[in-house]
Amino acid sequence: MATTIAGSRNERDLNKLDKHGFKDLKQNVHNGKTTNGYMKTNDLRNGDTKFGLSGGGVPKMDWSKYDTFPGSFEKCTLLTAALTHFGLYILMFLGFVNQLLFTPKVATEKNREGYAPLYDPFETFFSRYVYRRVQHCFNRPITSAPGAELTLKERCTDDRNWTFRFTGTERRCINLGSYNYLGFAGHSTHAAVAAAARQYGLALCSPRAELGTTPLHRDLEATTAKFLGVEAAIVVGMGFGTNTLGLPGLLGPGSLALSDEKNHASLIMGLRLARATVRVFRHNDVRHLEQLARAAIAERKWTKIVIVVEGVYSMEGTIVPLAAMVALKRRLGLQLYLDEAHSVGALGPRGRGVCDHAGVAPADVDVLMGTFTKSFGAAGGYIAGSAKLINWLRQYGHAHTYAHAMSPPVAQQILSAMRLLDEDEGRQRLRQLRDNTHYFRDQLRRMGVVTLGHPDSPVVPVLVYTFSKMAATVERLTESNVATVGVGFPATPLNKARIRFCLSASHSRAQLERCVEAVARAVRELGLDYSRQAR
Amino acid sequence: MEFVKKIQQFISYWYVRYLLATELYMVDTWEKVVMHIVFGIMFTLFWYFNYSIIMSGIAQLRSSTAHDVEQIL
Repeated sequence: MATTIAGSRNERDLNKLDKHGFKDLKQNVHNGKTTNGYMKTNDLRNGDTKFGLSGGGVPKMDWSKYDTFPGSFEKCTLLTAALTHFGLYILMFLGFVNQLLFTPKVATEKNREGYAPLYDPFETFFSRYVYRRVQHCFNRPITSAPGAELTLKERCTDDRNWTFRFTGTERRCINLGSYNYLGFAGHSTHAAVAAAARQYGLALCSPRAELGTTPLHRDLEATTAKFLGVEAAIVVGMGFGTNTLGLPGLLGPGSLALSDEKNHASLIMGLRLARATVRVFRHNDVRHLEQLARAAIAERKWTKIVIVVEGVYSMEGTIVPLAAMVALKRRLGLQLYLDEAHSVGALGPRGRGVCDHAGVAPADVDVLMGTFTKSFGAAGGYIAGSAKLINWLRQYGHAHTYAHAMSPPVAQQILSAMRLLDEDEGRQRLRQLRDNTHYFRDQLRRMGVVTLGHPDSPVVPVLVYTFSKMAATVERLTESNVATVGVGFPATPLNKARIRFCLSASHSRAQLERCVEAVARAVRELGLDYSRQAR
Repeated sequence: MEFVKKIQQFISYWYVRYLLATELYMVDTWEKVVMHIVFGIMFTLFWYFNYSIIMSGIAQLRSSTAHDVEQIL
């Protein structure tokens, strides 16, 4: 199979070893240095390949060779779909009747003749007449560290959820809601963290580029780069800001982003701030991605084409088919931006995230982004990759120059957690997380509920479809002392409300058994066993 | 007594399932009442339509000969 690598002018037989001894272009080696696999081309129209709609002389991907499993998405019955829509119509109807008869004070805008309305009509209507009714399931205050268990401060309402008052009681619950994958929230790295706070204080009152860099930050960046197996890394004090401030530094108006439809709000906001053109491909659908990418190459007007994906999708519990994406980006000469917010530390045999899980060399991904807020029990995020990329980001990403430096005790917490991951205790935690995930997913499957996503993902969404069922499930589980999170619109489509369980290495088997029992009771009472697969 | 309790449990279980399926679980009491009445009216109208139009139509078909059916159609 002789082929031309896009734009590189060098024909070679992919079945033979190349001159460096690599068979499948697994790692790109130039001048004895490992590069990130992306070969910059001066001109995509390089004369010896004709780009048509098929992407020129580059053969189509044979997807049967790759693991393209997008995650399990069981379809609901027509009856369930019809009832869900019918219920939404009833809610809307009652909301309109309510608004017509008893207009609340907040809904009337005074002295605003001649101005556009302050609020988007649909969203304010939604938040008043749908969200407000289930508001007791959201924004629940807690009064303890979010470890394996947490303490909920109980509230009640006298005016149908418009306002709440505290009852003065507290409830100790098993925590299935926090992204505490490795159980480092409330872990005993506290001595080192306290020492860092004493030495450097809590805030540096300066961005990194001015007087905000301590040896701790340098150490953290070097450790992160080594942990991930790349050349360099930059750390930012806020996870969400890592994306929103990093992407505008990397992309500009001439670049095209191929973005997964389920990407997180921070990625979407970053892409908008970058003024890059965004085209959305169906969730985890590599075939659709290939189609869009080939069409984009044929347009011949983009300075760069970047695939923007996440490692683990927090609302779907799915894992990106990374090996397939890397193969595609190699073949077509694209770049890859991978957000590992939920996967770093939680996936893979060594906890290195989705690269480790999929068996992809980290250098094959151009930009590795991730956060420290989940697995490491700290705050902030990182971007890692080649030294050139990181230097560029220090100069052009706003986070390094303008945002406040990461708090030193936070940096110390990440360092301690990251080092622990390579010791026996860390490996034990990884094993525990994987066991807990498999056990919990297996038990849910036996109950007959619809779970989404990949079997290895520690985020386990359970579809309940309607808002009522979401609220009722959260209420029942709280009564059984299990704290978890219900998710509905706007985080999910209107008719796909779900309960999201997040597993942690700190859960013991006895605790999980209690959770499973509580969930089983709720499933029986509320009729959540929608699944039609074998139990 | 046991029997009555079981029936009560059965009814309350299916009442909650009905509320959940129609999203009435999370609305105010007066809104629930309004929707129950709307459902009641709709059901009654359906029943009356079936009783008066469909049933009598079928009865007419049943009592007619093949020749009549050809004419009706």
